[in-house]
Amino acid sequence: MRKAVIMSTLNLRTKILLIVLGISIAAVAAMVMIVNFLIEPRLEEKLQKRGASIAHAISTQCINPILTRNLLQLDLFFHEFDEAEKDVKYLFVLAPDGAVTAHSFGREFPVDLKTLNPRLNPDGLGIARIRMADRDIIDISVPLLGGNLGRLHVGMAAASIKSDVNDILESFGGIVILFVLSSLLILYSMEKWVIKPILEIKAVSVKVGNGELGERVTVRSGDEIGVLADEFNRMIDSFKESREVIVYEKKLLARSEERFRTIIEMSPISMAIISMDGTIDYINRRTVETFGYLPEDIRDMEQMYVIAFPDEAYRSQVMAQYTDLVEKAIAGNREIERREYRVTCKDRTIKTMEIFGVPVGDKVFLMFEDITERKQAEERLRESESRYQIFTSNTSDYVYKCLRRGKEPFRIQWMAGAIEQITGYSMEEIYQMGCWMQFIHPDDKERVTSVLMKMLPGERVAIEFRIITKRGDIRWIYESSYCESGDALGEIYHYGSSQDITTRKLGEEEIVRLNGNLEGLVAQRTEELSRINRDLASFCYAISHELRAPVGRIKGLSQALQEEWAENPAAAEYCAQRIEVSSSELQQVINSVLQLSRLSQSSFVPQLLDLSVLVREVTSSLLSETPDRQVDIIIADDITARGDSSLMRLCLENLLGNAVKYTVHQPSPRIEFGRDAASGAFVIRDNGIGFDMAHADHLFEPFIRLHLEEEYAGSGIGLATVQRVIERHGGKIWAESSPGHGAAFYFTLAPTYGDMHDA
Amino acid sequence: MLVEDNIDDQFLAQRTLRKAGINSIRVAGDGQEALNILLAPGEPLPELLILDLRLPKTDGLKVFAELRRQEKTRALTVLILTSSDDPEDRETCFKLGAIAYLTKPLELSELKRLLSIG
Repeated sequence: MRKAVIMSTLNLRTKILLIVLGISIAAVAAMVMIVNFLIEPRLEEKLQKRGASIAHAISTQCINPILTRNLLQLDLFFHEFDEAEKDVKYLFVLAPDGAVTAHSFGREFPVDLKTLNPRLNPDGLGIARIRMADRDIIDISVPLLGGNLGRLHVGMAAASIKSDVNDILESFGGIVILFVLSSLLILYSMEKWVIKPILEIKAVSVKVGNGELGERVTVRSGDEIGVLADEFNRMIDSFKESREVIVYEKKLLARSEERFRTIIEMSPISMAIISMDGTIDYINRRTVETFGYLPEDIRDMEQMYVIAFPDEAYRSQVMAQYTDLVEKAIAGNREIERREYRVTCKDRTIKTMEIFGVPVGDKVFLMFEDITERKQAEERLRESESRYQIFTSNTSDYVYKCLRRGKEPFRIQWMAGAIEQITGYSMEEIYQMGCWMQFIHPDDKERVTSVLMKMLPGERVAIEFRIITKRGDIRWIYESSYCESGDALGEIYHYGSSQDITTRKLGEEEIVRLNGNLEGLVAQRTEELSRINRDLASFCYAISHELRAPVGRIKGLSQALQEEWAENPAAAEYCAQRIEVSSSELQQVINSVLQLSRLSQSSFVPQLLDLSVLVREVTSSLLSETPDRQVDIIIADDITARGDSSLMRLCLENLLGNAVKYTVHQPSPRIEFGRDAASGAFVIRDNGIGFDMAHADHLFEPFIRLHLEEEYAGSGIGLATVQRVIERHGGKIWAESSPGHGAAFYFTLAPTYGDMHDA
Repeated sequence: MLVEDNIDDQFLAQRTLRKAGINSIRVAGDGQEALNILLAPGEPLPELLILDLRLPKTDGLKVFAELRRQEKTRALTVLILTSSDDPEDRETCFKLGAIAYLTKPLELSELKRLLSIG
């Protein structure tokens, strides 16, 4: 590690130098090694081998001379050989006794040579190294004739080796020098072309690194370094540009920040910036105004909590909530949810604030909205609304506001009142349904929808329709609806007030029905009254007429009486008598009238009557008054009817009395009572004088006499009485007759009591 | 001629007529009788016909109408004498040309006045 560090801190130059040096040294060392361990030994080996071969070669040549004791020859030979062979430094033979047999030394034989102790190989070859005259010599010896003649020593000069080696070394050295030189050259070139530019680049980049962007690399060359330099320069240029941009933008940013600061400071909304660690970095002026707290008072959140939320329980609640909200906001990278808090200000007042904000980076940006007033207004509104709700719920009505958008179904926006009581549906249910249109009676739906859809803003309509309540019954609703433009195009609001008018409607229907009936009843009654009035009118007419006659007579007769009184007593007497008669008549008329009128007032006790029996009774009583008359009475049996006994008796007395009366001139008078098959009515027939049907209309009018009084006396109210009685029984009476052919009186009685009239 | 059914009314009317100087009075008890008499060919018309409206069998008005219908009796002087004063009857009678519509009893003064006119 340290080496690496060291290496990296050395500069390029040194690095290269070191490398070159290293290589050189390595080369030299290698060379030396090679020489020493490779070449030298080999050379030595070679020398040895050569020596050995020379030795062997010469040894064979030695033997003869030695044997022949031609030593001089040997010396000479040796000498020449020595001269000839550079490598051979000496040659000598050492006799087994150690005497020198022959040698190549010109001069004295070096004595030390004698004491050589060569190493001997198994084949007898001996190798030794000696030093002689500053030369290393390899002594190679071979035994002569198996050692009998001694040994031949050949001294091979290591010098040649050495010189060879030196040569090699020299060449190597030359190479190394060349190498070094070229390296230096390279180094120089590198220095010039690479290192210096690089250093320059380095220097400039240091400056650039320090922020000075004025310098430029001055290297100008076409090679890669030059390109690098150019690019470097370009880079500096772009740095400069960028920096200028950055500076400019920083300025802008600073300006905008300044503006921003001002905005926040001057903002009408209270704002605060809080760090994550709880420090309150900043509160704007409005915050100070709102709460009264100065920045010194609330340096951090802890401080703030204590003074802004004095109540401990509430404080812990707020803290928990706030922390939670902030966490959520940060986690979800969104704003802090709005919440209301009751904050205690410096002056001890409590303000309701809505606090919200957003985490920005490592800060939280909070805003406070004073909603105290809003809250108060809401409270007032709530009160008012609840009052209103109570009020409207108390009524039997309900009110609503609903929205109509284009052709979409109506949607209720708001409603209050007795909706549930009236419709059976709760408000929630109706909100879900959208509108009460859902439960309008199908028959009314179209009409109501069309009326409402046609409404234009500003219009007011009132409609009545039925709804089907949740329970399934039908109720009538009266609705007054007002239409107003909505907020968006095509939107219309309906404001409606609805009333349950079921009872009223039912009442109305009942009234209408009754009215219908009533009119019928009224018509009936009117008809009756008219008839009664008519009857009464004619009755009065008849009465008055009937009264006037006797009254007139009485008056006249009285006058006559007075006039005749003195002169003609008999005439006066007559007048007086006639006055009496007329008075009686008058009395009778009055009685009849009273009788007739009483008929209407008498009580009516309906019971089952046997008319047959009644008729029999009446006829027998009538005929008993005129015993001399023979009249045939034919009465059908078991004719029963419901009616009032006394009234029916009176009625029958009159009818039967008439029948008896008007048959007085008949030879064989006959009176029948029975039931008429055709009409189902009761009938009393007689075969008396009859009457002209032309007078039939007046038949039952009081005091109408169809016959001369003298012939058929009567009260004049007989048939009027009969008619009255029949009427009271709810029946009808009519007559048929022709003069001279008797008369038949038909009458019906009401089948049920309900048809009978009590009055 | 007097057409009246009630004997007392007859008595009274006759008395008044006599007092007014009319002595020849023919009495009919009912309308039909009166018509028969008056319309009988050759029968002279009375100077005055006093007619009661309330008559048996035939209504007085019908008699009057019939008299006016018949040519013979068209110009007959008719005086209505009746019990009750009915405005309608009165109108009808005057339409038919009655010279008077009087209520019973017949007043002498009234009769005299009428006779002096006619």
